Amino acid sequence: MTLRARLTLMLAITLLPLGAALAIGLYLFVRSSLIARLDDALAARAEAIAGALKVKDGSIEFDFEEAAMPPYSANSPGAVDPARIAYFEVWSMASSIPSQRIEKSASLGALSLTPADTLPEADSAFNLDMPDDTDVRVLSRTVVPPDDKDDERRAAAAPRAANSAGIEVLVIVAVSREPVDGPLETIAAGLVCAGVVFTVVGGLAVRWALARGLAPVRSLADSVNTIDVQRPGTRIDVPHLPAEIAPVQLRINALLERVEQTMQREKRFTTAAAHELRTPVAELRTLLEVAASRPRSAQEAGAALSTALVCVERLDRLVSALLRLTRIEAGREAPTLTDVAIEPVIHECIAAAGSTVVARGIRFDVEIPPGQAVPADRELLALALSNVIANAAEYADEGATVEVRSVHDGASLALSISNPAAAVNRADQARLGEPLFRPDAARMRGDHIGLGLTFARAALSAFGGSIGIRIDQGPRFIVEVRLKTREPL
Amino acid sequence: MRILIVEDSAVLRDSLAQGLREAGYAVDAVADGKRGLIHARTTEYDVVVLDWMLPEMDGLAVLTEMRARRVASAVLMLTARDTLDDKVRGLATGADDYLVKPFAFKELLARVKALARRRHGERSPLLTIGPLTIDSSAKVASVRGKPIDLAPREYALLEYLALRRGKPVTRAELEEHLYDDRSRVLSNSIDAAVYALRTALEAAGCPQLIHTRRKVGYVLSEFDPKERTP
Repeated sequence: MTLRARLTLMLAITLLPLGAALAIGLYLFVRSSLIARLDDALAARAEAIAGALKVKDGSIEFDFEEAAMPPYSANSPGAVDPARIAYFEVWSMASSIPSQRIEKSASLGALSLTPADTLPEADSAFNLDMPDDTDVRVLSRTVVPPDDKDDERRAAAAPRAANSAGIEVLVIVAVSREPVDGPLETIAAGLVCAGVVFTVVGGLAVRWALARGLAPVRSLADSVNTIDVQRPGTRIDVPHLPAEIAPVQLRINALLERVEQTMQREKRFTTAAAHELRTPVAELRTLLEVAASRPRSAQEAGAALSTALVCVERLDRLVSALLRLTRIEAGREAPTLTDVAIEPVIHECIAAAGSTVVARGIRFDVEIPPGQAVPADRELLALALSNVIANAAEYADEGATVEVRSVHDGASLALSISNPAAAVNRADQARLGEPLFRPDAARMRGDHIGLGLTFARAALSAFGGSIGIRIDQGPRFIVEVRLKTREPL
Repeated sequence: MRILIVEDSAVLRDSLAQGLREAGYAVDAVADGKRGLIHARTTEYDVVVLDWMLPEMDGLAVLTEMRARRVASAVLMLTARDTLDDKVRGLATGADDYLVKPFAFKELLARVKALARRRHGERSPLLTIGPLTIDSSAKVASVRGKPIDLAPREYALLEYLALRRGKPVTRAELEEHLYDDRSRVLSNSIDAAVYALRTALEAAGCPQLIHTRRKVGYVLSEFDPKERTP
């Protein structure tokens, strides 16, 4: 489902019930108002009929002239507007005898406002569907007619004063519901039509607005789609992006930059690996071809074979190193964590680099508290540190002193191995530690393959350690190995 | 013919130098770009075999500097970089040929020979001067189809004079192109080599083709330039 369809659906789910609720509320409010007005009119009619009631000699007299009130007359169909026809019934409510109807309007004919002679609740209003399909609004009102001896003025002043016979009368009046139902039907139809129109027009408007609103997203998607995987340097630049989407473009460009850097690093690694692998193969091939190009003395042949063996050994070291690096990075050499004392490992690594250390007159100045230990995989830690130490022995200036120090900051232990290295170019700092990268000084010495710091990084990361490399003024080459500690030291 | 090898791998450098010397070339070999550039600028090499990834100064920078300083030596780039972009970049910078490691030594030798020929304006490996024919590809000289037995230095002298046939070649030029830095060149080394070559050619029944130009050097020509001078 597209984002536009989803947003449209969500808006519809939100707005349609709201619109429907508003329409229903409006309909009910109008209906309630109209019915209230109709009930007021019915109440006035009931009062008028009550005014025609009197009690004389214990019985009720109903002084009603039909001609004076045409809506109650027996009109032929079509003679009077059906909406103006009115009905009434007057019932005696004396407590001593059963209720009986005193009078009803001629307009009722054979019909009744009290089907089955069941009287409605006093002072109530309700709808009634009469047998002739006339829908009426009915109002009942309890009235206490005055005694005949009372004058009309008193009756008018206190129409509900108790008469001497204690007779109560129930006046039931009704009119057609047409004045209410007609407008309500019109309003309902209007609301339904308005709802349909609102839904259609609103839907189209929402689609248009969403299309306009989401246009930058589509532009962004189109731009992303044009990125060529063969050209990782490409960046997307969609103009006038709204503030909500602009960060997406920034993130994509940041991602592209990281991808580009990774690809460049991989390319440099591939190039370097190709060079490192092809060079010994080229050495071997040329050496053997030249040696075999003419008859050689045993001494010449022996020298060529010895050189070939050196080439093969170097090739073997390189291939083994690359394979091990792959295994470590793939996590196939799982770490086994134990408490490893740092100092003995450092001295083992210095001893392992002995031949280079002696040949180049390198000194090691180690200051590590005895017994200082970290949770680590001893073999991987030794692999990492031996590469760092061998690197220092290889890079340090002839006769230089390599300083090994440890600093703890609570959560971790920082082990720094630093040495003066005049041949190291500060411009190379960003690339130090890249696989197979070798500064010139190292290239001049044939057995250095440029994977030491890469190994160290991979080995340390296998058990949560890390490595940082920097060149300080001097220049001084500093490798900082950071190891997690089990508890604050 | 004198060749400069600029290659940081000692094994490859030594093997190439040995193979090319055994093929009759004077060879100098250095391990880094800076020394390579100094050699290329101070000596007129026929061919420079130049590695790309070098310490001190990479091969492309060396080549750029060589061409900027109008060093005319033919350059064969030797590198592990094998992408089309790398090749185009190397050739566009001024390399005359490009060879990807690892390579067959025979191929390198053939390319070096071709570059050396082209450096002197020759396309064919066969050089003919009167009855004398020199096959610079096989490194063989013959008179009327009969091979002459020449020492490598004598053949190198003959080939160089043949490539410059008709033009006077100074002793200094011959020294520069026939001897490498390792050689002990005596003051009469060139004259001695020319004498030996003349003797060998005469023994093979070849008329005198190497003519002496007093205070200048030698000319290889079917006709004696002095006789043609009015």
